[in-house]
Formats: sequence, structure tokens, C-alpha cells
Amino acid sequence: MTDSVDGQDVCTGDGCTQAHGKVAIPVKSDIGSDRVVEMELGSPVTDILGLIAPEHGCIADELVLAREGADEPLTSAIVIDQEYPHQLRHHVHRPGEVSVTVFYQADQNCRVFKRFEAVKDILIWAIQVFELDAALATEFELARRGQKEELPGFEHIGHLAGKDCELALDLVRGDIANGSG
Amino acid sequence: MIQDPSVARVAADLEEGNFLNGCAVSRWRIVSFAFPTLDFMVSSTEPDGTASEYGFRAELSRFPAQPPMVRIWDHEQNIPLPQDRRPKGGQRVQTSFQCWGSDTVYRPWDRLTGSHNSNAARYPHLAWHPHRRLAFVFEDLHAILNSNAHAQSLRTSA
Repeated sequence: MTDSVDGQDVCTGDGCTQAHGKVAIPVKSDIGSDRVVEMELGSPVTDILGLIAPEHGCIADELVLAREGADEPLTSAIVIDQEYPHQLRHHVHRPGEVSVTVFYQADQNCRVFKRFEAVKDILIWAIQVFELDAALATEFELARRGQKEELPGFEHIGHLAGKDCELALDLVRGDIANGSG
Repeated sequence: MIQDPSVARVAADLEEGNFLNGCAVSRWRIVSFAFPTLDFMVSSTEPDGTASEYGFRAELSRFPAQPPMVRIWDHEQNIPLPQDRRPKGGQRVQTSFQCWGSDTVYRPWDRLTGSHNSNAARYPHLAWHPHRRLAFVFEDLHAILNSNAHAQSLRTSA
């Protein structure tokens, strides 16, 4: 039994152990660096790192791969098969963690986060550690230190930090447009 | 026949990485698209923490030179969502989805809100400009509609 992925035959029957064909996987390796890579069915998902590593001037083992929304990095034991959620964005990060300092009014707090954790994870922590009132918590966002642009909640910390191991953010009141008609 | 370049630009934005990723993880979804009208849904967190979603209708003529005009919308009834069914939450939620004269989403990137009370000039980091992609609008709506999750995190940790 065969099916088609991107116009190529793919084995789908019980007796098949090796899939043939390719799937397209969205990959983000830096802020503003989105692309789609084609990967062979049956290959370890971490093969993606081999495609990205030369652009970072390193080898694949020096990078970490995480899938959008996952709590842990992907390993080479995970193989791209027909059930694999290839439509989800994959994130390439440098190894190690990021020391995040959040500033609020005259106070500041620091905590280490994994690179594949998201801005919303920092925000939830910051709201708790600065002991904001629940009624006000809905009004707050995070911005880079000294900037106004509110950061998307699902942005990975590793993309914000880039090559650095430290990140400074401001806890700010999200802007509300002025007035009504 | 000369095709409106806005059509191609909207189509490109609907295929852009950030936009597709939001669809893939169910942050938002397209209901229908017949230029210049884009109907879509955005997932939301209610004040009690339950998940829901709200409908919107965007008018995208002369996009991206002209900002999108977005209304919160009842797709079944094909009318603006009645006030009593609009999102509940903090001040940002209430202001963003308030009923006002033009009744568009009250965010500076919106075509009519941006020019109202000089909102685009006051908040340039939230204003529309032609270099932005449509995902910017979806991300902003998603952030506001899920701001109740911040307060919910405090309640669950207490």
C-alpha cells in the first residue's frame, strides 16, 4: 500500500519498514530566519541540525533541536515517519541556558530558562515573582530592556538571546489604544 | 488583465512562516478568503481559564499600503459580534473589543483605530506599516485574547 507525500510514493502498509519520500518541515534558527527544509522519511529528525550547523559555523552536535510547544529537545531516536507532526515549526538553538533578568519599576529578578522555553513562560514567572495582583496580571507583557515593542508570548528565549547567555527584559503594561468613539 | 498586487501580497502573507505556524498549533485558523475579505478565528482564554475562540472579518483592499480593517465577527449570523458576547477580561481586552463608532478592533494597527485619536502616531510600535506581515495582526489579537491566562496562572499557583 502506498500513499503520496509531496508527489512521491510513501510506503504505508503493515509490511513496510522503510518509508520513501520527503516531507517539508518549517525550521527557525534565529529571529527572522524561517525556512522550510525537506527531510527524507525514515531519517532521524535531528538530521535537520546537519543542514543548519554550517550556517552557524559549528557542527550538528553543538546545536539543539526543539519542536514548537514541546517541553524537551528532540533526540536522534525520533524518526520522521508518516505520523510525525512535520507541519509544526522546529527551532534550532545553541546549547546551554539563558539567564533572564526582568526589570519592573525599581525591582529586578533573575532566573535561568531553557532556550526552548517561551516568553510566556518568563511572563508567568515574572507576574508571580513580582507579586502582581491577579486583576492587573492580564495587562502586562514583556519587552526587551529599554524598548517598547511587546514580545510575542510564543517566541523562544533562545532566539531572543541569540549567541548570548543573558537576556534583559522589562515587565511593562501592554499599551491600550486611546479612547473610544 | 492586470491583477491587483494586493491579492498576491495577501496570499504570500498567508503562506508566510509565522502565519502557517500559528495555524499549525491552532492559535488561529482561516474560515474563508475571498479578496478583499478574510474571515478567521483566533483562539482565546476566558477569565475562568477555559479555551474558546472568536471570529473576525478583515477587509484588505490596497493591502499592505492601507492598513487592514478588522471587525470582531459572528460568522454564522454574518454580523458584528453583539456586545454581550464579546471577550471578557482586563482593560486591554475590553478596550480592544469595545463597541465604538466604527466598531473595528480598537488597536493602533487597525485602519480606522489608527487614525482615531492619533493612535497610530501615539503607538508606532503597534501601528501598521507596509513592511508588516498579516501575522502581526494575528499575533496581537492572540496575545490580547489570551491575556486572561496570565491571571489564571496566579490562581493555579496559589
